[in-house]
Amino acid sequence: MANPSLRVDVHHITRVEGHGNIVVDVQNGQLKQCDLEIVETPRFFEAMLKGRPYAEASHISSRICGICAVGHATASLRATEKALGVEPSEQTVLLRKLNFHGEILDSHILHAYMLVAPDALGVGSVIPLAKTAPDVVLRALRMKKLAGDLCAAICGRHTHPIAMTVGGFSHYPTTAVLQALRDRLVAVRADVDATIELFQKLKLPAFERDTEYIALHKDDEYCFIDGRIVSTDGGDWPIEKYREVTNEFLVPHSTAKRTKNQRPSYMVGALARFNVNYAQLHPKAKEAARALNLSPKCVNPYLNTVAQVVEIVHCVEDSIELADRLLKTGVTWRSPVQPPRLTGEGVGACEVPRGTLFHNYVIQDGWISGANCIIPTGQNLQNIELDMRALVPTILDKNQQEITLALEMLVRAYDPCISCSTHMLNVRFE
Amino acid sequence: MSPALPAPTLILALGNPDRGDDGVGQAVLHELAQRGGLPDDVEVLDGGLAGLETCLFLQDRRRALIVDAADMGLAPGEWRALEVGDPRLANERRPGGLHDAGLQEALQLAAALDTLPECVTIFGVQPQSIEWGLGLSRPVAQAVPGVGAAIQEWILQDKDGYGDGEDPDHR
Repeated sequence: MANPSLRVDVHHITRVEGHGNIVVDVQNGQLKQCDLEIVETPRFFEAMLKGRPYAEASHISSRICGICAVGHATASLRATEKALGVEPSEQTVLLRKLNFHGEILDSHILHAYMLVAPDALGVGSVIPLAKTAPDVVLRALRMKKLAGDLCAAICGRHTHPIAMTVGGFSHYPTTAVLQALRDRLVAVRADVDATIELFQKLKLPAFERDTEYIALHKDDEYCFIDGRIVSTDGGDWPIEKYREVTNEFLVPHSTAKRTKNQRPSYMVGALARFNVNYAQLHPKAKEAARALNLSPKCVNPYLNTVAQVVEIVHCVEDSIELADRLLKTGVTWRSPVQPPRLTGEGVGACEVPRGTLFHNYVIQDGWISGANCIIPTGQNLQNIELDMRALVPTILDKNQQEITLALEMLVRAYDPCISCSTHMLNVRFE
Repeated sequence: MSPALPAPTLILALGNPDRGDDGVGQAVLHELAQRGGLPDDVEVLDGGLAGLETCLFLQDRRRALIVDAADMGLAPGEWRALEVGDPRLANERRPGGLHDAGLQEALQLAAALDTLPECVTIFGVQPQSIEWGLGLSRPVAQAVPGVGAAIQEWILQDKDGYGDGEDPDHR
């Protein structure tokens, strides 16, 4: 064995959002320690929401994340709407779905192209990738810009949306804007095909560890908003019962809470959605999955990025269909639905890029008196750590640099958003 | 379907007007609109918090002038003409971070992509405060007409930069 004793200590892992460390300690071939330390300061958003009027909640909570701002706003609005008995119109539901696809696309493209592809192509970051393959990076930027423009057209701006409100929208895209976006979505299919071709060529590690995969599910669509909580281990919960699934707990080396359900850990995110909701994927996304050799149930966490590529196909195709439906009926100005009551409790749930997000609010006389938010990365942390503990003994024949890279790539595969979960990465070999 | 080439000269404002003096770029665009008389081959764009997509704004241009707030340790309202690579453009909070990439990361990426215009000048204006809140501080608001005048001169003279100073006449 090449490494009878080994200490890995990555202090602040790069190409992830937020600060975390990987610490691995192997002594005489025995794994003594393998931790994912979360060292971000907790951010106390739930406390900030308390005492605020209900209409401010989505604007405050969208600040939890600059990447998933639409996701947080949507989960927040659904929690408020359920608490206050608001039923959004079909037009609102369609616009929210289209808006949501824009954010999923933006985040997945950034992760797949800028954060994961450099590892798989053996370059240190996107800058050398831009020098050796400028067409690849320019394609990513084009696709990202379309995703951002899609969000901006519907919710005013992508980062921290301003037009999303309880019961509807305060701004609507014109027919001309919607038609132009629809045309650009059709035109971007060539870039999507090129993305599939790129990821067919990329070699990702062949590590496998079976775990519980959890995602929101609807029988009639690939679910991103609302639905029920479903597990690959069996089990189906209404989202109001989310605490029975998340079972939050603390570990000493992390400022973020961990979660577990029917096993010691579970996974959320693109791969979990793919495993739970494969049947509901758009036919073209299923074609892409076949081309990428991805089939459910996939238990290689490194392939979360490949599942993201499949979702890119799904979101582009579904966006075109949503735009067609909206163009057919015509988007018309409608005042947001007003709440029939001002007191109640509600849970909103969405599948944001990194997995299942829950917002739970208690509202009294229009003021938020209690809030609980459970973020996808927090749900994945325990699963990442258990993956690391399973992976390290299988790669001890590699040198320290290779082991460090394998661990960093594993963490990055989850596309973690550590700032949001504390509410990662730095590998320390010791 | 190939899109038409963009205007050869770009005036790009970056920044968030909800954060006090970070809105100086947008205020300068407003100043330029009031002054009028920009040549037809000049496009004026509010890039907001564009991040890496700034590369796409710069692509296929001959020259670009970017206006943004920059903490250079100067008196509030003083401004400098900076070159690409100037360390004063660094994203101090997250150097090299791609989740919240700033102007320096976008310029690095554009250089690697070989899509930087021949001439790129950044007019960095020293903010007094970029805390949450609308409106510019008095010294930064007072600097805006001078920055507008300098940009007009930059366009007309087709120059690639200015010396340091609050007032281009003092350079």
